Amino acid sequence: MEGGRSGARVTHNLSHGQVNAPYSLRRIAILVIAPACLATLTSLIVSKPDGRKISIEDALGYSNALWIDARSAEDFEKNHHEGAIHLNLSNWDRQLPEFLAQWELDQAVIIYCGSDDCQSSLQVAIRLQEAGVSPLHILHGGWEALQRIKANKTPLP
Amino acid sequence: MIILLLRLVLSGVFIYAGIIKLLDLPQFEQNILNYQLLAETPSYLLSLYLPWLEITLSICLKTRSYRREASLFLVGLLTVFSLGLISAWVRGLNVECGCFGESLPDFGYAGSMIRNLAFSLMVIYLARFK
Repeated sequence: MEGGRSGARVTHNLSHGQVNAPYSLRRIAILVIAPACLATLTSLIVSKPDGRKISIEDALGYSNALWIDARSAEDFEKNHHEGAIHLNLSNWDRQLPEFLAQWELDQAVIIYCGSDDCQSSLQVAIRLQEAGVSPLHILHGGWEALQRIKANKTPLP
Repeated sequence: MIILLLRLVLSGVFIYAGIIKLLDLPQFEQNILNYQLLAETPSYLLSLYLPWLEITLSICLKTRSYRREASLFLVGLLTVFSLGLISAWVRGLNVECGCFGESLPDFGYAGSMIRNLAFSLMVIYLARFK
């Protein structure tokens, strides 16, 4: 019976000039594309405080802002903006209480990471937003923009 | 009956792993970054894609028509995860697997790789049955 069914399938495939491939490319494509579509939807739904980006000039104009360096601990140790606190997701549970101890209610928070391409400042902003910290700003250009200002060069556009 | 039970367990594990990651996407992205294999933007995209891939594959694992392809993918995915772990181990990085977010204790490199191997063998074994 099984042999008969198998034979029928082979005949059917051959009649259409197909190879009896062990895996269907169409199904594999669906398995690849379906999660990509869902991921795209997720990226649209997940709250991203992207609209809170702040230029380097505006950021430096704040007199009482609390600065957060979201880069790696090594980069922070090497150099960081004056008065900045190190906070990223690597040691979130340990560093968050230290941040909250220094943050005053309604004090503006400016977060930066390495450059405009990095995501860690965004991650920290999302977490702080969930923790009720506001107002939050992500520094446009990140550490690179700060360095350019220090070197008296034009900040990134 | 045992096959059905194993299939449910395996499928449940991957659905759980996917959902846990989706619930804390920034943490999962950080877990990927900790491996120091990808830049920030690819890590962000991967953190959005991988949980849905795990969920899709685990659902397809239970369907008859997609089972073989889903099994192939899952074994490939587990192999890639294990290669990532080996790479971090060799470079002396102290990273958490990130496989189940922060919901389960970290099994360490060896433990995570043994777990991945066990899951791979289960997937291969179950793929043989219709």
